[in-house]
Amino acid sequence: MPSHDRNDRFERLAAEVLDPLERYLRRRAAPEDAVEVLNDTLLILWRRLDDVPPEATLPWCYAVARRCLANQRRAAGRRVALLERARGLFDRTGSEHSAADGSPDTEPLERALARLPGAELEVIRLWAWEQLEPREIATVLGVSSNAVSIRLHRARKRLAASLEADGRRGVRAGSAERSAGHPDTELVSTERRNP
Amino acid sequence: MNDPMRDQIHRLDPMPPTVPTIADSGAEARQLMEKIMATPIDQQAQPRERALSRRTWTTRSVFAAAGLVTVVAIAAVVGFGRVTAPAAPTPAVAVKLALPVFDAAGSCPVFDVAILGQAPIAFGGTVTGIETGVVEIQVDQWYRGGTAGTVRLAAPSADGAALDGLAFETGGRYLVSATGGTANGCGLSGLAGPELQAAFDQAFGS
Repeated sequence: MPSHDRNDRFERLAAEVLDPLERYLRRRAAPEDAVEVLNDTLLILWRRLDDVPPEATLPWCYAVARRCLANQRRAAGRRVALLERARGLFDRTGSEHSAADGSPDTEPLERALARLPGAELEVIRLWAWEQLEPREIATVLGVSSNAVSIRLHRARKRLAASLEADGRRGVRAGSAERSAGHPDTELVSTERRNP
Repeated sequence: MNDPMRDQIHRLDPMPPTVPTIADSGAEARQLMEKIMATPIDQQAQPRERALSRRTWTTRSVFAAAGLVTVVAIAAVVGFGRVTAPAAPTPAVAVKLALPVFDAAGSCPVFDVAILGQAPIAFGGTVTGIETGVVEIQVDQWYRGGTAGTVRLAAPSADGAALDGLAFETGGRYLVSATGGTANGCGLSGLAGPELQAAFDQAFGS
């Protein structure tokens, strides 16, 4: 490929993926690490322009970025697993920018997400944050679309169950607060705990 | 977006469109692209990087079939041909395989049972020990390529024994496929979850 054609093609692709790639990385890494890995990822895109599948450019780039990020952590001797970091992003203290406003509305969902197994959490993130469909997520993770669909289905069920359990606990806590200082209710409650 | 759950999780995005990125700054983005395009294309690096690309899976299998498999067998490893039924492991022998070098530049092919089915070695077993970069697996099922009771997977460096960047867990059951004496990454080996188990069953006809 003549060099000017190569440059044109790279510029077109980079303009397409630069913003989503940076967001992908900054959702999963500290800002300085994200910028470094963004450079690495673009460099690989530049070197491997001929290998980029036109039908899945962005998932292909995410897959490269994912590996660069993991490699960078290994090279730096940081043994924090990618998915552990991902899990931390749901803690407001761990995120660079938090869209969550700390309102009671978002807390149960954040807790439910933090309880998901790592593989399911990453599928959920790619689905909801990167807005990828299962076949695209499959390209990023190097697994089958079917496997992604199964993980997504399980994750959704787990989230729904967690939210429901959280809701039930909330109702019980509310009832306990309301019944505090009410001797009759407290007696009934104690008797039930200690028959 | 029509899915309420997706919508709710999307609202927790720590990098929503309102947060500026390099792309929003035309000058900075331009500078970055110029810097990348000024980098020489490393002719030596390309073949290595492409070693994990989807086109080379077939090539690797052909090499393996042609006898370039570098499996170091401490004892016997019987044929690399497809077996029709899983073989029972022989406790007295062990096989040594290498773990893949973690290559950040390599992209994985889309997982395909047909690709998995080309692997000349495949087995399932439990990690019984991890020591100085060597993972010992007690094999409970051979799908193809051996009968050894134990397989030792050696890490390529002192970085530790990992597959696709994830460390092995003692006590965990793994399904491993290997080509050319090296365990396959990219989802072709891993913890024996139901999905991977189904893929192995389908690929190796058990």
